[in-house]
Amino acid sequence: MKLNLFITGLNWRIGEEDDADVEKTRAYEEAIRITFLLPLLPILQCKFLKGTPFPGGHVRHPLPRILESRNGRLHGVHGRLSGAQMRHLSRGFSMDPPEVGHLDWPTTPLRSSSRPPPPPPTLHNSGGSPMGGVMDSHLKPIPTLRPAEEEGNSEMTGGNCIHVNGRTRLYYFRKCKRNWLKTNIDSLPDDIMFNILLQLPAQDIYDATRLVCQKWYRMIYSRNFIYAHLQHSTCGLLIQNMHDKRRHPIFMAMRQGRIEISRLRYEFGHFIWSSCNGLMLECDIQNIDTLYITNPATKQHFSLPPFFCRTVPGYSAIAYAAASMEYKVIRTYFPKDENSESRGCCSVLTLGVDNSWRRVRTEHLSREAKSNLYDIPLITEGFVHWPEKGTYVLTLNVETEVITQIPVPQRYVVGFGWYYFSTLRYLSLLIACNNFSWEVWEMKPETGEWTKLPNIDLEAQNCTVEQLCCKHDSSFKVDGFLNCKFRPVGWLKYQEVFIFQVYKAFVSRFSDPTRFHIAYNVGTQKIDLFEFDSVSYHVVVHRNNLLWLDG
Amino acid sequence: MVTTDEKGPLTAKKKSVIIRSCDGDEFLVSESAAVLSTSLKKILEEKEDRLIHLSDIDNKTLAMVIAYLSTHADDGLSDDLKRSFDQEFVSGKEFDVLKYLVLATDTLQVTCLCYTVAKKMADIMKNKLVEWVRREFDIQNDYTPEAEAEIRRLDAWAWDDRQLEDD
Repeated sequence: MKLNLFITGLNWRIGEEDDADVEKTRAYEEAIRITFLLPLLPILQCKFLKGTPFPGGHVRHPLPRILESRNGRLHGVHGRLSGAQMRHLSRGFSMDPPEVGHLDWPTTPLRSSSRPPPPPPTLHNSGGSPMGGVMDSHLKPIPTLRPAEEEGNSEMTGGNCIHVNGRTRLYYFRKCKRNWLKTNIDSLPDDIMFNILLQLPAQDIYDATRLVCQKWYRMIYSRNFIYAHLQHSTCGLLIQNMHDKRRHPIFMAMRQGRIEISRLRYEFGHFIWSSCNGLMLECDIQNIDTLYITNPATKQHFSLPPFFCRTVPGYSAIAYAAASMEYKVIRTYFPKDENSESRGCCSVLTLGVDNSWRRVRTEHLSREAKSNLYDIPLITEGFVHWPEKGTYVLTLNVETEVITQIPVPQRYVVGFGWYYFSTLRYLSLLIACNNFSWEVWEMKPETGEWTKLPNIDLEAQNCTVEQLCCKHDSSFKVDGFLNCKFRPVGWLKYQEVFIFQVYKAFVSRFSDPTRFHIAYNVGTQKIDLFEFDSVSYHVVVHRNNLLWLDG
Repeated sequence: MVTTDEKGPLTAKKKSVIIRSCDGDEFLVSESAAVLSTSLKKILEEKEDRLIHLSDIDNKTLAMVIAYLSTHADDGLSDDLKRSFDQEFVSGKEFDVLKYLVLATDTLQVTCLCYTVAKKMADIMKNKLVEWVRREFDIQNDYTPEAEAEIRRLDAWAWDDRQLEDD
């Protein structure tokens, strides 16, 4: 009785999830009931009687669990199985005799329908099919998930893993064999296949796609592909939690007009200082002399030659010199023993070429400009910038390794926030006019020219943001709350979407940062609110890429 | 269908092209839509013939491509609408249909549709296991077990918590 209820519930669940495919679903239901569930009833019932809590929610969950225990191999699966396991299990399910002899056979009748209850399964089955005794004569044996060539000459065909709404489910029915055989991606010309693979994220290519077959592997591991993929990859913001650096960083990017937020599947051991074409520069705070290069997509990780000097270390950056096709790491340092005049030094290491750090000339810089070197550098294509609230932006041409001083577009006035951001192509500057509006400037790194862009004004959106925050967090407006303030975080997409962090301003004290952030669309003036897991974090402009370095 | 009487004013106002699929059916397409395809544009430039025969594109696929071209040639639609049309256009289509579509767009050289379809096909593959891709697309695994094990061993941890796509 219990079981009938369960089946009804299951059907209902399937029907609810695929509103669009109601017609199809009906057909599946019957097929599932006949070919898959009925033979399983005794086993399902046994699990029930033993008091195993039945997982709800998804049709996929109960089946793999039971199959698991049937094979006597419990992996602690939480509702899902990997493809390998699923394939293994489903194959084993139809080909091998089941080990059901140890299960208690339920004494209660399982079904109220006209169909006779299935006889107890036997350990040794004559037909080779495990459920041979269970089936009615007109029913086919349970389909399998096997490669196509096996299917062709077998009676046990028809099983397929239907892909509905981007999910994979075990829907067993017979009709899909035709589609299954026709869907052969190999018949596509190489250049189309190249374009399709190019659309995949670096992580997916590395983890799965390159292993599918040797042809794909060769295609992916070509210079053309890596380069095309780099050109194609969207650049976004990588956000690393400052309190918990081991937590996987968040990667935000705009794709097809939508904001995508994902976590990088890589555990960083250190702080990320800089990123260039998918290569990241990490620094160990405990041992600041050693820097690491990591590509989270290809899992490449190596350390750079240590930098020994009695110095106060500054920040570092990684940049790409396009003409010489070299990656260079730039780090600043401040010798302790020299007089204050010569303070602020910079050295460079070319990856794969240099074994030690080379010093970059900084003598020609003014003392004031040199103090910029204390700051976190920003990277644009082929340039490294040390901008600070001052009269100059220091710009290093990665190719020629020459640092130049570029004057800022207007006089810096104390008390107004100046925020610099890299957009990879340009250096962007936001100057706060008041709490809600910013002047926007961009600098072309090659020429050092500043161009003024339309202002960003959030005055009109202020109320909306306040309401949205209150909706998400009822305790947002505590006593003394005055209004929301915004701190610029960075361009999610240059000249389109900007990210601001929401601050709470109070009557009597300084404003507090909150975990709320808004994505402000400069064109449509629309606002999206989202929440980060931390209030303090480090933001790096990043794009995922398959780049790997030899040697 | 265009009769002879209507053809005069129609061509004067808006030139049309007739495209024939390999099944022999004919489709009437405005020239502004047809020139979005680079190959059709070239054919139209070379000869005045208003009938183009495409021997390797079937009815169903050609109808889809033409629907796409007509929408994109419509100046009355905003870019946002066209973008949402693109998404709607590929959503829910089976892989098989997409495959024919991508082949057709490759023949006709419709770059933007080719991109949209390729993206959709990649989305199907996204977040899937190697075994899933091989099984679903019927690709023969030509790695020897040792070679595959070796590649996997080198960065074993990448697989340990990988599962089928999350809900």
